[in-house]
Amino acid sequence: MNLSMRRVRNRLSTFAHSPQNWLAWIFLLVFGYLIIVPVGNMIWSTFHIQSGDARRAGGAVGDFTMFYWERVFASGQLSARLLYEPLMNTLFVSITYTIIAMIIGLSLAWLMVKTDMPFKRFTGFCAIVPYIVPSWTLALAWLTVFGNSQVGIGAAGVVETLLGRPTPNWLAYGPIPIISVLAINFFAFAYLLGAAALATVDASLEEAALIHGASNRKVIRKITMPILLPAIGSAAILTFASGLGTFGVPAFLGLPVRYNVLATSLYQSAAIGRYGEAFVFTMVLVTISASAIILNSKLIGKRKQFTTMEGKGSRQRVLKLGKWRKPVGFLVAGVMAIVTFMPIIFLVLQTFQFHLGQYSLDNFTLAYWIGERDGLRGILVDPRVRAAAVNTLWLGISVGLGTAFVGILIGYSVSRNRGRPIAKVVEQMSFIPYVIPGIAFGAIFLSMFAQPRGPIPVLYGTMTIIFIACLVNRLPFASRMGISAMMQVGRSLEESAEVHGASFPRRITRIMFPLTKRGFMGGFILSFVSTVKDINLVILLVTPQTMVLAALTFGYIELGRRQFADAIGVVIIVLVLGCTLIAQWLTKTNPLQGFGGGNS
Amino acid sequence: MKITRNAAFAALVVSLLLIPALGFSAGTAEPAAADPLDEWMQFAEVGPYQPEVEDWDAIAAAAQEEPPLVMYSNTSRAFPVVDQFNEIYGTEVEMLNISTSELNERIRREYDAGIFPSGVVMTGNIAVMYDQLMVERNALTAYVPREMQAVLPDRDMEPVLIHRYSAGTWYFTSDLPDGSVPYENIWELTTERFRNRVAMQSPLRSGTTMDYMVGIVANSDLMEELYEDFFGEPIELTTPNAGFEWIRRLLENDLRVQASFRDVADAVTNSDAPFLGFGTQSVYRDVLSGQYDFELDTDINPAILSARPIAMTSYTESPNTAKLLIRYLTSQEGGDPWWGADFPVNPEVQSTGPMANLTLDSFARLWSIPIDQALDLGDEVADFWILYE
Repeated sequence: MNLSMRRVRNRLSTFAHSPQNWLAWIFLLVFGYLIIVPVGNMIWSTFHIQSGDARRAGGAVGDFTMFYWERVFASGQLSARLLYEPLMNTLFVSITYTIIAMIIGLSLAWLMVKTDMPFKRFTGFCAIVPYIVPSWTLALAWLTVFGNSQVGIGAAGVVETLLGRPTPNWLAYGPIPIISVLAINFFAFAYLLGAAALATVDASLEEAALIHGASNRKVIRKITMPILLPAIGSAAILTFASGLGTFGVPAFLGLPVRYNVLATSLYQSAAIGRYGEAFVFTMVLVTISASAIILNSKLIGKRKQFTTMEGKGSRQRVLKLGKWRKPVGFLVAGVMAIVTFMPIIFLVLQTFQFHLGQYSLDNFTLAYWIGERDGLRGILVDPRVRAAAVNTLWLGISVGLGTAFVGILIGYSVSRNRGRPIAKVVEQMSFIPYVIPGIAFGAIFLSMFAQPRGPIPVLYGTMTIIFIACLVNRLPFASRMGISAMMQVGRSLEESAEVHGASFPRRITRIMFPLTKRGFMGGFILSFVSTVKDINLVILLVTPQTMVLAALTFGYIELGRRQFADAIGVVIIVLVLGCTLIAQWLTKTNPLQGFGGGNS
Repeated sequence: MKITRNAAFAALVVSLLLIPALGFSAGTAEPAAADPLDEWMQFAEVGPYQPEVEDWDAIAAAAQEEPPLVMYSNTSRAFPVVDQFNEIYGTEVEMLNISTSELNERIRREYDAGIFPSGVVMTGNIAVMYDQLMVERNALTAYVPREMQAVLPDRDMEPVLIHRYSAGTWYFTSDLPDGSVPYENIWELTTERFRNRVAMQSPLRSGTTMDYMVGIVANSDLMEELYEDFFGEPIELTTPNAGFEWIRRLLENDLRVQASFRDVADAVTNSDAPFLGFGTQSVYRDVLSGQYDFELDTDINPAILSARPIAMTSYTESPNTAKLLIRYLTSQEGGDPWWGADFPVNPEVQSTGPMANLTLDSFARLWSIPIDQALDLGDEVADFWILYE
């Protein structure tokens, strides 16, 4: 008896002293509540008649039904239009733009970190801007260049005006523009993750190969690439999944030529209150991205994960570009400048146009900044906008810090529990929120937190619930970043600290955090940006007191005064860049330069 | 030992998956038994308890003592009105501006959870609002100030007060020398002359467009007549009726489906005449201001009446503020942002500005869709659209 008591006590004590274990269990519980419950609720909803559907589903609200599944999967021509055609389009678009975004992002990361290319600071600054800019701006910028007078809104773009004849329809609308815009929108993932990982590749590994006679190409293929694979896999999945759920770009560039993707089906169902179907589409997206994750871990899992940070010196090897240095630098900086500044200039110009889209001096106005239009005050003089800006900043920073911190802890517990089922479950659960459309998540969180549940008080109407919703929604960034960063940190460093009596918090703050701060910064920036931009997730949760900037844009667009919304877009860009620069200064990393082109 | 741990782990995962099935599901509780609603109506003096004569000074005084009220509105034009209202009455009204469908979703879920954060609701789609928020549940309560009850026709206050109307109609640019409407019959839109020359929002994204399509289907007899007038022979159907037939042929005539009303207006302005677009008449305000360039068809094609309702949230703790606000929003002063383009129901209110001459009577053929019809045919039209788009 005594002996078994002691055994239990010993086991408990071991458990308490192995943070990777109790952290994993805590994550399992918290994710269970914040992710699995909402998903379970959605699945439940797809089998029960939803509000407003009694007529067409033939029953009473709340009755069991197969109506939604049958409708989406087995209703002949209707299913083809709702599911199968959009599914094929989605796969085609997503895979293609992912490949393009990966090539752009990784090449850029390599040039930034591993070569002596000039203008790095400028190029690095440009690289994340397309991700910050609201995606409608990118889509409209595309139309400004390639639009033709024959389809859509019928406005001739720059190219048509110069050539004097209409650009082909496939260049103005449809898959090609959607793929191009999404690739520009999302290559920042590949760039940020790739740069963070590249910066941790110890030059001694590469040099060892070089000394043994390997060529530069062979070093990249045999040393650099395998070390980078986990990060590349993560980047590919994030990029792929980001586009799966994106509605804005396909709506602008696809709808006018009736090119539908799954997100179109999903958002159209949700927009007309058909949540039963919307949740079925959500499950299809969850399945696709889950398959992508499994495929990714199968591909990468076969190879070894490499620990690159051990308790010894590490440095960077910089490839000298020689005579190509200047031309490459100019070319890269030039291309980046175009994809970055064109949409921004476009965005800024629009905020000064009294009538949208009319580029003439007598159309210039400051009304949308400091004046008034349609009874609405310019955004710099509107107290509502000011209050929302404060909320937004608070939310962006706290969610950014929160996700980055949680990401490191997830990374820690997953990497230290590698191979155990709990690690797999935590990792996979943390990815689910990515493909759940924000509006569905918001709706279910509303129901979950509008009443007290156990120890949790009513959170609906507070900033806390918006914070939690955003945090959960950004977990995939966080865990991808954290896991790929932590996989590279050797256990020996931590063990030696532990032997010398350092507590877990001390080990995290003094060893793990400094070593992974580039990953931390990447997680911070990506989740800060998407939190500040996001409207769908928060729209059902905000109140007049907890209003955020992005949610204000709806009213302006509804009025047809997109200039106000564009001005808010400009403010968001300034906020994000400002915070990034401050974060860079505080942590002494250089995120705009791919987390340090040089040694840290 | 290992087995038990794995078993415990599995048990945990399974129980986590079961949580949703147990306590938490959509619409668990039904807080609106008849009694609490009746009690609230007595407290709020609405419904059967609305006094024969309302003392507005007393209501205004009571409103000042009430907790802050939040109005949910699908239009941002209400922002300045709310500020004015607070200034006049010393109240604390705030506003949340979200789309019609988000607004429905929110009120539905709040009501099902037993919380009532809003006080007044201004929205766009009367059919869905009535069906889901007033029939399926008592989330909204109709309120019409007594003095308006005396002067309004039933249409404007049954089952809920209409704040204003707008009209879904056709925008055109003409290639005729006198600039007149470039077609004589709605079926002309399905001919080669208008191939790729008609722009419209999807009825799946726009309530007004949906109402129009429901109108087309509901008036299939008229559509059949018009077909014969135009083509000189009876219609041969490939779809259930002449209304659906028109929708199908319109789609097959390379209809330009647009993401928003503004895109429709842009397409009409940007394209060579003749070109047509469908949207609400209020955009004409921006034709007068110089943003767009087209005319409204009030004579040939039918237009659709679109009602914008206003109601009180059931169980609000600020019923006096709500009453005062509803009365203010329907007045000349409080409705000012709308009276320059939309059509007031309050007979004491005058339209203002350069569009004041355009009234509902200006439309030669104005369809109005009863709520039941909108609900019955809406789903059918939506599915039909998905099939042929």
